Amino acid sequence: MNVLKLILQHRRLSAGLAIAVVTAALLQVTNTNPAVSQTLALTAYEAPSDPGVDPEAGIWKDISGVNVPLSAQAGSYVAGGSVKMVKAQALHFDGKLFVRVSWADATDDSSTTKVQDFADAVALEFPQSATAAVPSICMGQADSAVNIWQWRADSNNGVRDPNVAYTNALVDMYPSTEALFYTARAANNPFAQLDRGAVQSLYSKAFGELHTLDFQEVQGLGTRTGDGWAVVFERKFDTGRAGHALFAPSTNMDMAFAVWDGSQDERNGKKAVSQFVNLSIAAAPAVTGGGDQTRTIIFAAGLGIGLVLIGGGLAIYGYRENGD
Amino acid sequence: MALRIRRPGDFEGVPDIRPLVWILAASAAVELAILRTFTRTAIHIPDIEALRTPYEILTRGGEFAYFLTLCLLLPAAVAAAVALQRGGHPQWRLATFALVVFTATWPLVDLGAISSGALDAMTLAAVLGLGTAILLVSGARSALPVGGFVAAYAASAFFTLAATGDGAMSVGQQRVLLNTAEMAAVVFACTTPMLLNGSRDRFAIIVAVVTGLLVFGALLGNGSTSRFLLLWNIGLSGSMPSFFYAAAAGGLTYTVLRAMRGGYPLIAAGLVLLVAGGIGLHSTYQSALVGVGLAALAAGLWVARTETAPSTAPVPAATGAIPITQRA
Repeated sequence: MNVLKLILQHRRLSAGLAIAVVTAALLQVTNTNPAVSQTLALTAYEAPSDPGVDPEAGIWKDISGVNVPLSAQAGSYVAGGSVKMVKAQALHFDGKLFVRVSWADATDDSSTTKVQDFADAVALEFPQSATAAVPSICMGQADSAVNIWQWRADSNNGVRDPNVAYTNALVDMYPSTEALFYTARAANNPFAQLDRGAVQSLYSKAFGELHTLDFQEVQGLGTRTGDGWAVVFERKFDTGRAGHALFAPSTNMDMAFAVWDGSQDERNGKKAVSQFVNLSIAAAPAVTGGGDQTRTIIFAAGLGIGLVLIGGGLAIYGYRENGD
Repeated sequence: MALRIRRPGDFEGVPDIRPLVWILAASAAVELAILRTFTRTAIHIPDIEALRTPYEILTRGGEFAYFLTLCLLLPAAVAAAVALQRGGHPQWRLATFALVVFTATWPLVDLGAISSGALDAMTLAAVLGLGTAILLVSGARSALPVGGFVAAYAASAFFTLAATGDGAMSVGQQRVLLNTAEMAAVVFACTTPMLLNGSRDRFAIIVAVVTGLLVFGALLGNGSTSRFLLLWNIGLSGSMPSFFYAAAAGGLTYTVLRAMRGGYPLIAAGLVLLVAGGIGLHSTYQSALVGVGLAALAAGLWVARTETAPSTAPVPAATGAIPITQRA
């Protein structure tokens, strides 16, 4: 009865609240999120032609990108973090998403034939599905899995047979070259497979649950630049398979970056990671030549100063009017 | 001559924003606790798969709280703007203007009428405008806490704005901005008790000390997860010593409790909304929480000030006690 009295006393508020509850339920059921991300934003515009997976393709020199700061991974233990920043650019063409990532790395760690070698690598992480909740950046969470694309410099280099890597090596009693003698390959270690490319598509919904997806569809290629690496990832918007991130024009998706520097013994969790940034897939064609945010910053500063001046003027006026 | 002739509940045509702001703050707090905290730490619960059904029910509840908060934000922002505008004090016009700027910008981005960069700029300007309005109205008492929050927000927002594009800042410059945001945010939280005058609240002190110790323990015991939560939920990296964050949590807890128990519900709700909104640009959802939180704080601080000021001072409409200016 008290509740009823309260509702009757606050009829307008109760009615408004009821409308809000129904609207919220509708938004939840239809998974419609009117909120817009304001984190670092990477926009993928439509490319005029197929950019391919070549990181040196001309289009990448003409479009702007976003510089994403990285820090040491701290999900389960603090480690890594030798790479401080990556530059990310994105495009789409003919139903495919292209993401180019470049970063500074003085050493080329693309050979891992020795046990103490670790490869340079970069990974992109996407929520498997866009929901109201952004998943845990640490390998996803039970109700919100992530799809990870990892490029490795050694895979990019191609699987190197020890006989090829060490041409002067001699083995007296080990002449066999049957598949069973390549134990990693025989055990289905994905990195040892000859038919796999430089990029692996992975799936996870918690710590310790990372696994390779059965269907590998992400293409990728990395090249050495003047000061480090540039890598391009390519994938169809929709693979039609479970576990794979789904993209579409005029939509937004969260994405995060991780980078490993092999010369710093970085591997597995020892890496540099970013926070989630917002990947916006725009239907508009790519605009070339720039991306400097100076105008936006000046606009923000001007607007802020303007508001302060207006407020100051109002305050002086008010004090005089009210004799306050 | 300005006369205060109305009492709480005695008003015409001016919205009393207290119930709406409180429901909004409660809904945002539930969303923060479930969706942004529990679901991201549930991976540490042993055998979580066995608890799949209760887990899903809880997360659906958290999602509903998110959507409900989202639905309440726009009416709350409009109500706060109207209430501040009719509050009868000129400084409120700045706050109203800033709130209207942001409230009007959000739907424009959804419609694709303006760019996300313009939205970010408008959001930053609105926070600066609201912060300035509060400082103009409430004076020196709010300088450190409100100035700290606005400085932290501005530094973090500038970092986001400047990180996009080819003319971006160096890593060192970015660190300066982020460290500034970190320190200013801690100053904000630690100095919030300055927002309220009067005697100490022993119960609030005890709860604040316990909260501070729990936060300190969490940061020492499982620093990685705690710092991730700090980053995701508040927008801080946790790079300073744990003691500062414990003190910040204690300071905020004390002020919220004391404001609730001392008859300043708008200050309490405003602080809850600022914490749920976090530092820096994350999403329009969180930015709107910050906007409404600052508006609630502005109204609450004005009430607190008028109670300690001579009786001729007008009381803002936002509290239900409307100033009426009558000229003889």
